[in-house]
Amino acid sequence: MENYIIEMENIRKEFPGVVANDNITLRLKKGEIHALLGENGAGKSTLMSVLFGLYVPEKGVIKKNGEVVNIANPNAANALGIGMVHQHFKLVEVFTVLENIILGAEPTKNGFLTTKEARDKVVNLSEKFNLKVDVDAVIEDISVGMQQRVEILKMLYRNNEVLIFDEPTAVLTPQEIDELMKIMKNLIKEDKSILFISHKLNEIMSVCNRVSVLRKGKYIGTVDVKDTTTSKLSEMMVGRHVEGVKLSDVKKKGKVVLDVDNITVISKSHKNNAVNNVSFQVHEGEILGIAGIEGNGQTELVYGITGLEKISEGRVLLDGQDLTKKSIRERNLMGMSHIPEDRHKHGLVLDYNLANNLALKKYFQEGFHKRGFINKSRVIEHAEKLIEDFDIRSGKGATTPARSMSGGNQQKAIIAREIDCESKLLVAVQPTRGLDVGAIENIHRTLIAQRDNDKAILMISLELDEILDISDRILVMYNGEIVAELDPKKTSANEIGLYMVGSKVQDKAPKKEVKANAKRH
Amino acid sequence: MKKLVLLLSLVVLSFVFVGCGETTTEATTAASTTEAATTTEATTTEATTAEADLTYEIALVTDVGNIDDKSFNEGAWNGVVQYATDNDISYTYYRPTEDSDAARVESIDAAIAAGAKVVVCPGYLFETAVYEAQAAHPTIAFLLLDGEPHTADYVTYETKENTHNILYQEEQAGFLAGYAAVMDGYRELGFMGGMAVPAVIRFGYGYVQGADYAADELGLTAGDVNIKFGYADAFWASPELETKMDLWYSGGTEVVFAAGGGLYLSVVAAAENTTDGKVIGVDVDQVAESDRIITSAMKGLTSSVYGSLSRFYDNSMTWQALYAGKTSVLGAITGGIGLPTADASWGFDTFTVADYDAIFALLVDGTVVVGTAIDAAPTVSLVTVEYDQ
Amino acid sequence: MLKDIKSPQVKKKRVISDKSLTFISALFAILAGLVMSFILLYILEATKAESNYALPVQVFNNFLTYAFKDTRSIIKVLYNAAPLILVGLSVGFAFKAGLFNIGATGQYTVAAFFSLVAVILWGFPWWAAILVAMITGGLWGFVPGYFKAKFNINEVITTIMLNWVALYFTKLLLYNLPELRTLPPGNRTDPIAYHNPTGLLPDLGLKELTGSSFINIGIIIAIVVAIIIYIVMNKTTFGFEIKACGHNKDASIYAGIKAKRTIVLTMIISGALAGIAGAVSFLAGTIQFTTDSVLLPMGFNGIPVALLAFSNPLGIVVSGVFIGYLYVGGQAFEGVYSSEVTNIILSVIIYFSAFALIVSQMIRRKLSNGNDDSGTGKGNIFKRIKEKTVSLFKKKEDVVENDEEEVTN
Repeated sequence: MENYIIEMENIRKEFPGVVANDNITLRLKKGEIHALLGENGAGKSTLMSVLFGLYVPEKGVIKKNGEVVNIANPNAANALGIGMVHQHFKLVEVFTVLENIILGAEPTKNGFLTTKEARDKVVNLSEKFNLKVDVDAVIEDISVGMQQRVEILKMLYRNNEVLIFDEPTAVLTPQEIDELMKIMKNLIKEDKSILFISHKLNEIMSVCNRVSVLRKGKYIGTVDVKDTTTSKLSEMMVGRHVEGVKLSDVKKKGKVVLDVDNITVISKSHKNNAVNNVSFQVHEGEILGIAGIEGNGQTELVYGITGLEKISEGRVLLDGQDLTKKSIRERNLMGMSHIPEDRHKHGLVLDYNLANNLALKKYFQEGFHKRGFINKSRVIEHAEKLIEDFDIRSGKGATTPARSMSGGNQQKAIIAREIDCESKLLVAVQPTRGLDVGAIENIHRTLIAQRDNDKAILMISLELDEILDISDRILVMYNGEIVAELDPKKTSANEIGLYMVGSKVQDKAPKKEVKANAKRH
Repeated sequence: MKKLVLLLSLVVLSFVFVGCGETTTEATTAASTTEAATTTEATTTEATTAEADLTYEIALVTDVGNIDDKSFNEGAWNGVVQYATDNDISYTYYRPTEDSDAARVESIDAAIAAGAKVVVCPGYLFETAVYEAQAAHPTIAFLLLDGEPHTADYVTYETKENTHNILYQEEQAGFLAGYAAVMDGYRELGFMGGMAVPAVIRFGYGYVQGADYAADELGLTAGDVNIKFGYADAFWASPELETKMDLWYSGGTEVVFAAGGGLYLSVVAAAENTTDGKVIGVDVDQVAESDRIITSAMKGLTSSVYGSLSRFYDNSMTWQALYAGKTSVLGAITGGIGLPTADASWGFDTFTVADYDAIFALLVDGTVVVGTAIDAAPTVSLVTVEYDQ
Repeated sequence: MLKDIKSPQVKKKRVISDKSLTFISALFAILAGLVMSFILLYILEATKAESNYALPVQVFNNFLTYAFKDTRSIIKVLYNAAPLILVGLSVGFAFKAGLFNIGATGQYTVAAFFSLVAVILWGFPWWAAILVAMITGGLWGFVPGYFKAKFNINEVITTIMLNWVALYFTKLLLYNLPELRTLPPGNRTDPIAYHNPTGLLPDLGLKELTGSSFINIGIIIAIVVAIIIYIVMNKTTFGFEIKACGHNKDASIYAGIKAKRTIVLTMIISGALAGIAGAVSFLAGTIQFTTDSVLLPMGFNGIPVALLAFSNPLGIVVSGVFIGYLYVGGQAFEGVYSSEVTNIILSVIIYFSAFALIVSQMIRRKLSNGNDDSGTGKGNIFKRIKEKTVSLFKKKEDVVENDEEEVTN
């Protein structure tokens, strides 16, 4: 009998209409890093939520050290020494690091807060596990990497021994990821056990001992990392053999389609400009990828170009025409398509059906209405054509409510609509966010086909792999500025990562990581 | 879900059982919480499941207020309740669905459909409704308080044989209140009427005249007595009114005559914000509402309704010739108005009940005549009246 | 709405259509309200010294049938329904655009007042007075719409404030327009009938015939307006834009819809609808505009009317008539129970009616066959709530079972 610290046996969790976890068994050995691998929607988060007490399973038992336990809520999980770092950190932005760590477990004396001991304990922990944090810094001033370390300290402060990391690398730069891997290895040396949720194979291969794979709510298997390969794992995860999408040869650069000339966009969240004097051009038949860590001005840059936000300085030219002062609709009609970053916020009217969503940029055009009265049959026809052409799958065809479609098909619908506009320029922001491998492949192929069809594509992504895979040219954005222009064939994820955190700047003196050292106000 | 239903039905059942328990033991608490308004005239004292008799012989229809307005409707309603319970007659009240003549007529019709033999209509707002109803229901008796039936355009006034109107000499009640206040030593007076409707105006103008009369009797000089005079434009309390009253009291006003339904609540609240602000109540003896109420300019609503109903029933359910199609004007002579003289209701220091009886006698014998005009402010010689607007 | 369903195989798959779902859930909500109010009535009876348990049954029965008692009652239902429908349309129209027009009362008040000014002072005929009401109501709706669009000020706040502005503004005007008021008390407007009979809504000679002063063409106006709004909402590009804005403002802006313009226009139309309601109420010649300092409740009644009908214009006609029916039925309580009881009973039913949306969501969850993985927004919250409640009950059951075990041991 092995020495398991956590055993989840035959867990079944249903949501109305969906079996999120179907008879899943997961065993975590003491002192190991155990990966939980699966695509989006495979049931990883649900399973962890069950372990963390957020959901109560319909069937199955959870054992800690061989004894059946009842985890009814996160507090119960905590009491059992189970802690979790969520993908989206649960930190109070305006509190200090120390305050966040002790929050919910505040040491008090006669009803008054006593932070002295807590501070010592936190400082000790941070030294012991090499988790560098400034305990007095305010959360909103520190980097994402440090915020994550705060989350880890939170668990350690509560003496948790089973640590769940939910997609911890999604928000990190390559350098920060390396740092995290080291921390995780330190943690298991100190007898902690780690459950590591991910869909990134290389990370799993580099740090984990064993890996359990889920697919569509079902348990596929558990393997030792040393006995497997990335391609085997990927097959287990997806259920079929996967091949990556690669760009065809670079064609000769065409004429300039989008000319961004020295634009500045004011930030809504801080005093500095979100986009500061940025200039670049996108050519016909080219995919220009912009890399960067979230929140470095990419969103605002896109808003400025597409008209969702005003630009305070500079000009944007499309095919030589100045569209700085044009409305969004005018920009669309002039030949700009936009796959938005957030498909639920901008991309779709979720309560509209698919047909109406596909007509969102057409309904006002001739043929779609007659003296203000919408031509419904034309809308449906149009939708049916796109559904056919782009293989958009949905329960009720054109009349499916957008809300009830899968993420991949929602994204396909948006892409279909945007490409259908036959624009010269396609601005694609995080086109594959949250999608599974099959859908990503499909979308990449579509984008490449557009490029080969002489369209200009501006792609903004947080996924470095995506940028490296399908860009003809890469720009890196840091702190509202373009800090590097790179050739994907001659660069590496590591090099881009250095530019992304601002520790390397092309043709400029290196800058320090300002954020991390920012003082409290 | 099942559990929820079970829980719910348990709660309901417990209520039912509690209810039965109370009724079988005839708990007094239950009796006291019973709506006085909704007596079903059931003669049994236990819970029954017999077909209920939904007919009511005496009906009161309210104007825009409710029967608990501590004032006009309530005064009339108490008369109905007293007479009906004394004589074991079924009674109830109706509230029109909206503030319109059509709705008041509808309520009168509903009352009659439910078996009403006599309908009490308190308030001038019923003038048009009763004008229509008295013709439509010649066999039903109407008692209209504070008004006389007429058409909506005020062209035709007609009171049919089945209707009896009662008007009150509010100016006399106001006169007594104003007189008493000044005689008791108050010099800064206020009058806050509900709306500028005839009855309220009469109260106010009588009040001014009474103060003037007292000033003359006391030999005061012009300007010694000041009266602030205004209308709240509503018969109920409001924060705005309380603020306004705060200003009056802090501006030196010592006593305010609150003449209009529930608005006295705001006046009393403002008075209670000061150390010794006083209030004069209206329509009924309101002393129980606050110890700041020194007296009330009463109309004998309860007694006149009671009296009219008894005369009506004594005369085999028709108005006597003296009342049929006639208007009674009730004043000092008939005891239709006055101040409460019971010890508990007497809030004056130097002004005595004997003094009151003296001035009351002068009103009765006609020595003192209070002006009844409402289209122009009364002429006064000594008091200064500051009219709003 | 559902006409655009073309593919036949799709229809077969549906267990229940959206339309019948909304209908069923509205019925459920109403039924729940009726049951609840009856229980309440029963409890009230039980707390009496002399309980007669036949009484609530009898009165409740009367309550349900009161409206069908005679033609005059039916007329009263329609009389109540006309402004309710129009106010419901006002609120529902704004709902569709994602705006909560809680200021229908203010728009209603101002418009009602100016329709009376038009009729009594300017001698306008009724239809011109309705136009005046639409303009003033629309103006009253424009202000919060403009503030929302231009400065992103929450329309709930601005409309609530404008309610009070409307109240005191009309009061001020009424004071300063003595020609508008009745003779001696002067606290209300002069009856239209004696001033300008052309200002009264036509009754098509039925007033004489039926003997009810509550009959006029108000209900016809309301239905016609409802049909127009239905067409605008469901057949035009403008309606497409309004709904898109309502469902997702960001996406509409992204798609090039001028969301700000749409918001302002929506509020103007919403205000104008409340304005027509005001005119229809007051041009009936029954109620008079008074100087009372209370917000007219009619404007607020539009909210449950719209909620019960899921803001569907044609549904609003039905829900407006239904609530009008309830008010008439409420008269059955008069005399037997105090008027407070009447109000409680009506409020309980209307309150529950407003839960129609929640009921439909519950049914939808029950029926959903699992392709809902959008994972954001409301759905998720509901899932979670259900999750929590289910687990709560689960736990209790466990406890109970354990207890039993202990006992048997």
